[in-house]
Amino acid sequence: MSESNSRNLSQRITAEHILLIGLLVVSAYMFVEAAEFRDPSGMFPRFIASITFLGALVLLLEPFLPAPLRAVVSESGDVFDSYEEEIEEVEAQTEEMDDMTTDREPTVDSKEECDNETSAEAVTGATDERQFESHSILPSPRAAMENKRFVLSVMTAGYVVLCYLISFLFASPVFVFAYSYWVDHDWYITVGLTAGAFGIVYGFMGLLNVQLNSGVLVG
Amino acid sequence: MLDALSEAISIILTGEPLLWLTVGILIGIFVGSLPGIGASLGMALILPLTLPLDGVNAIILLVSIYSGGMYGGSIAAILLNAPGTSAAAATTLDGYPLSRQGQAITALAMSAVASTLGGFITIVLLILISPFLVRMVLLFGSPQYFLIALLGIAMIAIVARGSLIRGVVSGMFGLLIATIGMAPMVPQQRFTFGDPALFDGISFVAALIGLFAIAEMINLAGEEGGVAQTDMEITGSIRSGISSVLTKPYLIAKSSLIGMGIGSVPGAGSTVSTFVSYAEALRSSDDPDSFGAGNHEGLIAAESANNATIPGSLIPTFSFGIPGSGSTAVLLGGLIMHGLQPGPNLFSSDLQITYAVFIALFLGNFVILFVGLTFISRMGVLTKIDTDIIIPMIVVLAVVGGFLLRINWIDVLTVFGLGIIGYYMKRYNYSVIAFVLGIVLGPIAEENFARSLTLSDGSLMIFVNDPLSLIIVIAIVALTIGPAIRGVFKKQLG
Repeated sequence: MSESNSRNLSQRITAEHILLIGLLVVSAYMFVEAAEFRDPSGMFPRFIASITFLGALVLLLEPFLPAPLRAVVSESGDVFDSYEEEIEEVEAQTEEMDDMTTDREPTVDSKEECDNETSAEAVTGATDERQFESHSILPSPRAAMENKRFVLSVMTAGYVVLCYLISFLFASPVFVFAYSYWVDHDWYITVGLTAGAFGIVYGFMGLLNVQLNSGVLVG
Repeated sequence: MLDALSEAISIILTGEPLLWLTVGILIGIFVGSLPGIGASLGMALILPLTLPLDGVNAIILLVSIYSGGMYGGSIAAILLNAPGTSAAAATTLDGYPLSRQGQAITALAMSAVASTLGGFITIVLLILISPFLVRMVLLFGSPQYFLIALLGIAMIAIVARGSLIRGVVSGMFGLLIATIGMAPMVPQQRFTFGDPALFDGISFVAALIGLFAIAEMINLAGEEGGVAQTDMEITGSIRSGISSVLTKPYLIAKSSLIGMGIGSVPGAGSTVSTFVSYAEALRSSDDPDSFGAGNHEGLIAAESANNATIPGSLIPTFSFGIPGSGSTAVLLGGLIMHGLQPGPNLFSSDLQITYAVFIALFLGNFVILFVGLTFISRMGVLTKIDTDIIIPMIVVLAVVGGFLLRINWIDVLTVFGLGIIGYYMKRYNYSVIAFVLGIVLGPIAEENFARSLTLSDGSLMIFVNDPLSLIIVIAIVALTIGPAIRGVFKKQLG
């Protein structure tokens, strides 16, 4: 029982929760640290940190708030809402037309809608296609998408570290080559992009007269 | 005033600014036409490269990218129903249906002419009202600058699309980040961990590069294949596009003024102005039912408001250092990087620079018109560049560009760290623009607050004891409690 509870809890923790916890930790630290500052330089950060902390806390505890308070938390502050409502109808009409004629990748907005759909389907039952996906050995397009974003984030982190170690001039082609190889570009595109990355950094060096060819291990 | 204007014209006629203007418009059209890239990202990436340029040329280059990007966004919106920039979202409503009806060239010609005319009208208007702006800006002292910064922060209520609390948390987090480094007025290092690289604080340009470049690339990485997923046969008539726009001067004037007016509200930006302009065209149309199915008025309204937003957004940016959008935030970074302090100076001793930028924007519209009408049938090529080719190059430009800002590894970490945070903020609807406003306005607010209190020997009455301050205070209160009151009214009206 407790095992399934903890599994449920871990499934419900999203990146947003981690973002909010991060904000709580940072704002709490800044609030405490600012108390040590000479007056009046601590006043402003303490004030801002306290609002950030309270805001993040309210958002973190949003599901546990009573319904009226929850409505206040999700209340939109956008004063242009009324205009959006006015054109929503037109947009829906256009999307309908688009759906009938094309079969395109979802845009960011429609992806967000997909997120909502997914949660709704968790209650009402998934569509046939999604059921197929969930039983398939192949990863779903959504999981593949997330995987690609995660790999790019990790590669970028690696690139930053590599720049520190072997310099921008040598790390940039390595990063571009690795990315191109991973996304399976044709060899001539990979070579072109790798040379391009080297050229860009080399161009910066010449143009701005800055040392970009020395890292901790090189130069 | 006329002296400054003639000096500005002679600056432009030296030739070099004309070159940067053309380069900027072309880069802008290129980045604007790539869905997911856009003007602010292009400007953020180019910003470190402007270091060898002198201030005027650098600002002309940046503002031209902004202008070109605004127009470029409509290309993908019309051909693919995928707006290159959020500002072009309203263009998709009638632009794309026109393309599907075989009138892509007509729609693209309409977009070029309407954008150009919107830009022309509002730039001339901006030059005409600039003497009044000068007088207004000179009325502002430290207390009013603090209040204006506070007003900008209160604008988070407008910017925060979706949950107000999420918007406030984003803005406050930005303000918090801005407190890192040396405190204003008092020699006190804050949150620096004793590292000299942090003594000057977090570079907001590095933050912008992270938020606009890295975050956007992570987002784009999840989209399979090329930027363009459909093929569109480009047919239609340039002549009918031009004549359709020229027969609606009232609509263009009205949409341009809406664009400029809303563009001058910090935080509102071109996305809002184009939708408001579109909604107004729909409201006042004799044929509202055809909106969304390829109505020319809908496209013209959105496009003329689009480029008209730029002069409007320059008003708060140049006058008070308050950016109206991501693009103007980068522009503000460019001004500061090149030693041009927004505020009274840009309207007194540096007035010729301000006018040179305005004239460059005016001339830039000719380039937009020329490119828009000459290469119209080849525009589709821009939208077919594979995402996976763009991503690694932009990551390289962002990381190297971040380092070049101050030759500082903290800036590289800022680019990367805020890139990751920015991606998740966007994903969970935390307003990135509110965050940017926080970072930009934090130092202005804190510094002018401290200076005002020094002037008044600690009395807060300095913020309400003159009519101008009082008006700003009332505006701040209205903005802060406005959404809550609106919510109550909404509930009462059912």
